Amino acid sequence: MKPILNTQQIDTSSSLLSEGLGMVEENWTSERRLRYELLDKWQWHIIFYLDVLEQNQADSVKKLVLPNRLINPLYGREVLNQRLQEMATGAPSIEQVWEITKKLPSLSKLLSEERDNE
Amino acid sequence: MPKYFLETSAFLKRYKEEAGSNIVNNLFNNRHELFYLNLAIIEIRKVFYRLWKYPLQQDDPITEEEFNALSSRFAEDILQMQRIEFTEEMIGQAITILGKAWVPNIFDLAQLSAYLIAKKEYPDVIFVCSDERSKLIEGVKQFVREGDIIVPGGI
Repeated sequence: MKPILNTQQIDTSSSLLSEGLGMVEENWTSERRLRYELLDKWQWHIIFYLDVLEQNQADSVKKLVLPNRLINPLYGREVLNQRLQEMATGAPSIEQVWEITKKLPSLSKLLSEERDNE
Repeated sequence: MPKYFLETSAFLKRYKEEAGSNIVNNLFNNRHELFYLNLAIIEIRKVFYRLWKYPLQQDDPITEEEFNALSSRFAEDILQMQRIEFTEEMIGQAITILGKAWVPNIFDLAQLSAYLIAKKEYPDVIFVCSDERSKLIEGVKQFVREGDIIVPGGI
């Protein structure tokens, strides 16, 4: 069965064809026009698909890039060392420390308790 | 030069005269390479803070001045030691450990992971631990010889 050619449709698709596949000859048979029209529709599907693909790639490019402080384990090292240096100024002897902790329970046991509570 | 990895529980023995303190102190006094995991800074400072600002009912709190003295001594000590950073390789190591031994506390697990990674670089490094609950010591024994472990103060 031969396809029935809808003039209006051809007119509309002609503009698409000229934008998409290229030239449409005036003297083409209706079957040939129809074949091109179908091909042209598929081309738009492909173009649309490629557009989506491109968009997805663009989205993946836009992936969050974490700042150095969130990925570098050494970030802040200088600041920490600076704090430790300041803290260490005028450190007492270990005997003076033992004098302070004489009244306290074992610090290792305290640590164990703390770890058990975690 | 002999190498020692001070786990937090053993490290704390330095700041209180008790069973095992002399062993830890001698490590500081003699020419030894002492390693510690950076997370130990949090654990030890946390104990000091608890004693000063957040004492429990049974605790005899220390003063701010005493807190500063402890913190100062500790800071001076760690500046003389080798700080090991907790790395992503150690996360992988921790997962491997769990496949073989149950180490319930996350800090214990981190310490053991760091030690085992350090041991890959320095096979002679000794693990120094005073964990009273002995879970960590049980854990480390699954991976190294008993001769590679020192337990100041016993368990």
